[in-house]
Amino acid sequence: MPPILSRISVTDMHPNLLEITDLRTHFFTEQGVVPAVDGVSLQVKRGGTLGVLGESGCGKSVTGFSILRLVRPPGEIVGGAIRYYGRETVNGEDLTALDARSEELRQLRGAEIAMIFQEPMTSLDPLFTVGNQIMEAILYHQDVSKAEAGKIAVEMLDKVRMPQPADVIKQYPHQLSGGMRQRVMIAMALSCEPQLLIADEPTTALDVTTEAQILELMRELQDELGMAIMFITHDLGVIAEMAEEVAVMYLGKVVEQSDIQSLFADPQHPYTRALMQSIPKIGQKTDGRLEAIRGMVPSPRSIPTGCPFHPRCASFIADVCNVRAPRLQETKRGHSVSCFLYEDGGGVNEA
Amino acid sequence: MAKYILRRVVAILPTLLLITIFGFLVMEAPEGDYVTSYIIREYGHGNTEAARIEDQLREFLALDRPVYERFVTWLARFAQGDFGDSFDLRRPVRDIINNRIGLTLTISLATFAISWGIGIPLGVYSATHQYSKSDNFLTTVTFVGLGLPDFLLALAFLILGWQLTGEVLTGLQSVEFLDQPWSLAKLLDLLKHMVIPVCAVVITGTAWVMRVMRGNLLDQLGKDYIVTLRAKGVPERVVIWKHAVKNSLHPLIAALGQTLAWLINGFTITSIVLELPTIQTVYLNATLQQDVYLAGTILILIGFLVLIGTLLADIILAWMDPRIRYE
Amino acid sequence: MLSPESPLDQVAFTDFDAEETDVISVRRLMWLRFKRNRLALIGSVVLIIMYLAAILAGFIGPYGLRETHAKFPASPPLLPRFVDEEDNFGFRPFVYAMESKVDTKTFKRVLTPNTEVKHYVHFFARGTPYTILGFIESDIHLFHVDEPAKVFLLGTDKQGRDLFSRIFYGAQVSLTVGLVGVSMSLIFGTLIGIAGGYFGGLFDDISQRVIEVLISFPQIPLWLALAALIPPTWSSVQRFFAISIVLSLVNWGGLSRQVRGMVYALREEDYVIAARYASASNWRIIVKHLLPNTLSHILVIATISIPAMILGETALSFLGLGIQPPMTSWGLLLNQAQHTRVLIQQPWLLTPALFVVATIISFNFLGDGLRDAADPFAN
Repeated sequence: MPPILSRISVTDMHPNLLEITDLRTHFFTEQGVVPAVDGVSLQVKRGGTLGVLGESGCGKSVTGFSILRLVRPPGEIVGGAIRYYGRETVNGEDLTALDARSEELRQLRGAEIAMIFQEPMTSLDPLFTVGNQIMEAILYHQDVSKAEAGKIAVEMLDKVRMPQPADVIKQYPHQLSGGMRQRVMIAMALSCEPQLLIADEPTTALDVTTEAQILELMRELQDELGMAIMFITHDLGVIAEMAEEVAVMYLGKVVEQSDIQSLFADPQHPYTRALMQSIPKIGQKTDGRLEAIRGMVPSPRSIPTGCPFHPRCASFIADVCNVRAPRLQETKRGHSVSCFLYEDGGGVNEA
Repeated sequence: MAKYILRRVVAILPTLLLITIFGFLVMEAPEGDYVTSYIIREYGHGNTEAARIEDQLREFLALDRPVYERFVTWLARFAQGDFGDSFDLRRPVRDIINNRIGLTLTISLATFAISWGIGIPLGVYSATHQYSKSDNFLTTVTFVGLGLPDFLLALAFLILGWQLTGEVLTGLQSVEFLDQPWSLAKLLDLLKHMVIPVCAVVITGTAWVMRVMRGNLLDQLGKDYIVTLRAKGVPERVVIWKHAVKNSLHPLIAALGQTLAWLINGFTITSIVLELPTIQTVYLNATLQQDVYLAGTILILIGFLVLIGTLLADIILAWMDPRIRYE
Repeated sequence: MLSPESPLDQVAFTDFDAEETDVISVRRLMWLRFKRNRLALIGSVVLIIMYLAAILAGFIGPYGLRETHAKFPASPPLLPRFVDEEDNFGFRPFVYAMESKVDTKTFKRVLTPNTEVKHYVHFFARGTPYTILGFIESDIHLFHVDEPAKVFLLGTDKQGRDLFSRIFYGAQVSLTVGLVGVSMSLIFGTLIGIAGGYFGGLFDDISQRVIEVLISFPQIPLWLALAALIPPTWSSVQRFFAISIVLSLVNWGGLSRQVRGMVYALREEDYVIAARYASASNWRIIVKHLLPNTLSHILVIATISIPAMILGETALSFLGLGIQPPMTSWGLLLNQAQHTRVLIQQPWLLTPALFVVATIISFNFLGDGLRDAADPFAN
């Protein structure tokens, strides 16, 4: 356990590290308002891993960016709270109440909550050495000399299994492969031993072998450093491998939330079910085509009325799903879903 | 790095030769030669004698030799630093250029420093405050500035200056100081005369630097690595000035190539309008009079400076950008 | 509660495909984006007015291109007035006829108004005959005053020619030289750019080298050197085209380079590769795929390079190396203002500069708006 953590007794601490309640992040574009995140509530347990699953454009990345307050205009957090129960604050601090340019938030970024991104190729400044960029993260948060920061940087690279870390430190991003760069990103993100790592599709741009290595590395580092991970991905396989809890998002809303076993054993929302059916299963013969979800993700500028998924839903109920929006409700312990099929008194008459 | 520089130096040699040939040919191409235009001019002044010594004159100036022969002799002497004599001014080309280079550089370096010094911070400000009122204002001003040709501005300032001070501020020195040794009064007089050309040229220059800087910085600010920097808690000021600005200097440095040549040929028309004793003014007159050696030398000098400037820009870029350096 | 395998699966549902969401054609999207750019709209309106005024030059100006007023050389503006000598205000503008005399002591020309008779300004009145676009003949002018009174809105030059009228005749040259020049560099630059970008190889290498020298070389000395090559014996019209060629010779390289860059990128696009696998001929791929896809960008680049051409013509004519009389252009009109002493006594000679500046700024606004609009998916 990191030294600072040991100062606070475990009983004092809130069980959740991060609680997002009813977060709404909207983009005010020239063509209209895009509610990229529209009433999302999530919890990340201390040291746990929350997987956020969804297709592109469902608002999962924007949720991640909202936590660090990295959403740039025309995007804006218009409602909700992001409560962070960090090292110092037992009662939690609402990150949405902070000024995005404030010193408080700056000290939080990188040190308490770190983030890694989808594109390792473009996520590093091409004009500075890898070492310089890792040291930068250290020097802005820790009271160490440049030489010490350099040493920590080498250690971190070593920790992420970078071969010859002392040489890599003098290299520039373009001299490294995608997998190497993602390792650098992870080393950088973990250099200040953050409490929470937000991983925004960290393996999407990598090939399968590298992906497996990076995922394994992340799991090991999580065990070693005790941090929590919020893992954002569209990949069911990756989610299965990484997450303990999963939130499935569709068009800015959480449609289903559960622990990983329950989700795979008993997917409830028609969207989750459809997602699972669209994956080919090894050893299972299907006659004909692989299932695909009908239609396309609608433009976020014209989100359907009622349940956002109803135009593509296989279980669409006319005059219900397209009229009212379902609420997220617990259907069994630790498993919630937002669908009229499961809503009590949802006005559904069985045919 | 040394290898990279060497490769670039070798690569410009053929271009160098091309420019000398081109420069010489451009001056050779018009119908008639210096003697023809000289005779016409003398005729205009009522001197009919000139026509009679036409052939003599031509022989004296070696204009009766074939073009290629003249080019080779000229090039050989050119390489040794002997640029030939100006037909018109009856003085070595070298002296003419030497006499004027100081003042030319004084004005151009001043305008260059001012427009970059103002343009870069304003461009950064504009980009980091995109769509704010001040950004909209600056962007509009930039547009207007880019639409104002410096020589027309210079003319307008000249009228304005005359109405305000009653002085016609052409040239770079008042008549009474012309043959005086340097003194404080003479320096002040020079500075006073520099106000109009510098202001006229600075406006367009600043607008250009600002626009390029704003556009590139906006591009850079949209890149992924900026998000990484912010996410790791680097202060915004450092994100912008250390990272984003450094990344967006690329096109400005690439433009340094032209800037070096611009130092001796920029604002040509402003120079002429304001009767500044600069190289630009000599160049125009030499072009009009078909004063081959003088005009050719200046044109080639400009070409050289372009190449040297491009080379320097390449080296600076390679020094700044590892992606070029390790190519 | 319904089981997941509900019979509702079979319920017929409305088709919720794409038409329900906002599908706009690319062209419409471009227009929407362009329309939102207020400066670009202002720029286009100014340009439309300018070009109309240039076409209708004869109608707008009260006097002809070469019409001289011998008694009014270098006259300051003689404006219509609404208030007469006795301070009476009237809504009909009028002028007093001016008596022009040379002061025997100072040798300066003095104008004294004859306040006896008011000469009212007539609108849509007959005056000097002119032709529009070379075939419509007329003698109706927007405004006109009867002799001996004169109206010189912007004064006259030293030959006593009305600057206001001449500015619109000058616009005919100044506004077209950019278009002609750009069209020429467009054709040349696009052909070489597309060829270089598409075929690559030796041709590409050579053309790139030439362009490199061309665009790194400063424009003005090159313009001067090339313009000095135009034989002085050429007619005004020949000279006009020669100047356009000079301007485009210096300009085509940059354009060509940008087109090449685009083609280079497009060459790798799936649909071009697909077309090649479908054994479409090179010519067909270029004409059917590459040209249409680069066209909007090419037009934008062209628009952006027009101001430089107009400026080039102005500069050359201003120095006496460009357009020659009897034609006139804004640069040539400004030529008289080149001498400081003249300019200080007749500052109105600088007014063509306002037209040059307004045109250049408008083209810049337009070009910027077009560039944003041509890339409708950016941002």
